Amino acid sequence: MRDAGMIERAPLLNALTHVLMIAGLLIAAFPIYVVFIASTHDLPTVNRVPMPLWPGEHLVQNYTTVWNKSDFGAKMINSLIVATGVTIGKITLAALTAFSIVFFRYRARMLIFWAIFITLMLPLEVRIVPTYAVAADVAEPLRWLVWLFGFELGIAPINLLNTYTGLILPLVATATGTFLYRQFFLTIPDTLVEAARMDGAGPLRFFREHLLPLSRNNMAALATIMFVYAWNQYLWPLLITTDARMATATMQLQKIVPGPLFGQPPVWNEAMAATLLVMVPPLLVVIFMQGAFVRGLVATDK
Amino acid sequence: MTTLALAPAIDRVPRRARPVRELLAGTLFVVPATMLLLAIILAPLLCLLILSVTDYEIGAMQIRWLGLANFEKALSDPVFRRAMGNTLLYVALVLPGGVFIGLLVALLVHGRTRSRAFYEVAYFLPVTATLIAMAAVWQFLLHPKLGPVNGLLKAAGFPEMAFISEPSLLIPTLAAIGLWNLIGFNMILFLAGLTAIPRDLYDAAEIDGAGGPIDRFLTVTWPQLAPTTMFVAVTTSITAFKVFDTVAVLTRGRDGSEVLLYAIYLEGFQYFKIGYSAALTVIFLAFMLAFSVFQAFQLDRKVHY
Repeated sequence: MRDAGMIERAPLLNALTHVLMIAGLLIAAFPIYVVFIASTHDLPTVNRVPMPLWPGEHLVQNYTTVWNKSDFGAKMINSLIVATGVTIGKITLAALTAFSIVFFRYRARMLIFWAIFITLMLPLEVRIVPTYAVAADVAEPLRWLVWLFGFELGIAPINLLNTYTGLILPLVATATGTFLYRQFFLTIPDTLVEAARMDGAGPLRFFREHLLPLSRNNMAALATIMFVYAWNQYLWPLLITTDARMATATMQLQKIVPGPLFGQPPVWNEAMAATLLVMVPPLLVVIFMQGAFVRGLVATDK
Repeated sequence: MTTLALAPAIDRVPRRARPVRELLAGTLFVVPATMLLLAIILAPLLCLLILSVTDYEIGAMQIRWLGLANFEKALSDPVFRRAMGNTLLYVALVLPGGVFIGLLVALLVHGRTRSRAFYEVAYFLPVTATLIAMAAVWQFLLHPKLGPVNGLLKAAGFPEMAFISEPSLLIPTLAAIGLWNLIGFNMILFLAGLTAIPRDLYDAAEIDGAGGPIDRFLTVTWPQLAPTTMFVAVTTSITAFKVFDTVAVLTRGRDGSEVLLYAIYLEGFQYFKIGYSAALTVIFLAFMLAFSVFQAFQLDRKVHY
């Protein structure tokens, strides 16, 4: 590696880099370490000043309490369903759309590309009011359109509140994935496209047998990002679920960790145990995918 | 071989007549996404525009046409104006911080050989942490009496800081937490960009006499990274504009921490004034669009230097 060569020549610089990286590591990891430590003590110990920085003996007890107290298992399963649904939905949709935009020529192509570009700029949070209106009644836009012309639409509301569909679909319909896929597909050499054509491969076969295997790493990278993103969603599930059975883990977390204005001091050890529990699934995905993660964001496989 | 570049679409298909079957297939592939786009994004936006000129409230029997009254009310409302100012301040802190610290961390990690995989995961750790949860953790870390951060400050002889109660400190505190959560993601994007820079460019730079680390950074790394940097800047500013989670947990939008998305949430989903919050959303949208278009232009200029 070139940088390694450079560092050999400058021991002072090398030492400085090490100091910087370890300092960064402390800043990145220390809060999470504190979460772990706080989750292993009983409440009086956590509230002591200063809080001990070594693990205590109440780990099992705290985690069992939190798990049972708030039906955490069911909430985690809800989050898992939503995050997996969003991940699969996005990867599929993004691959198909990018494939169409990059490898075919038709009149609406640039229009679709710009529509994607704009939605990339307008995340769900910005569209939260109208998206909620549509989730509450899928026929809502039509109803307004008809209302503009002075009529009433005689359709019963189609309600997506408190459904997995309502939780998943709006999170699928953003363009980040399509964008990343497009960038990758643009680097596929024309010779490969021509070769596949010579072999008599139709578009579907080209997609399945050439593009998909080539984009394995991209898929892994995208899946990791999407899973973490969907798992950590808070505002959308908060709005669309009123039924406690549909609540996600992040929502439950917000109930376990009362904010400053609720009046009562938070039960820190249990709150921290819950925090760590909610962190485990996305962390596992990142560690599991680590190998493909960075490589997958690079345009071509080397 | 740029990564994540916002390059213009290249025509990949030779200019000769395509069989109708293939053309049809190409269009079919884009149908699911288009349907979703229409149903989940475009149609709701249409609703939004209509709602924003009405006084619609959830449960109301009558809807009245208000014209631009909602917008006038919003723009003269001191709370909403503070929310706009605070959001801009938040973006102004998080955008440069996120881009430059992310780049610095990526450069450091990229220089490692054996420990690189370890550092990648370690620095990515905060990204996997739910901001909702971490906001609570930071509340604990920054607690004036219990928190270790104030413990450190006091040990170093500084006065105790009320990070989450002093109004003027709220936005900087929230920005610091946002940065902590964001840096790892930007690092990964920059690492991908760095990996894609062809090795021989550095050799060429060396021959041209750009041998030192700073020379090589300025002549090769920085220009080659331009598309990645732009992409990081766009995603970072979008993330910064929609700050909500930390506000919801740490401050509940109290004095000094009013932000746009929280204001929209309060009006629409706590006070149920859908019409008014739709108007706020339109203003928010206009902000984001203006900002994004501006960045897209910058991008065009930077990429075709």
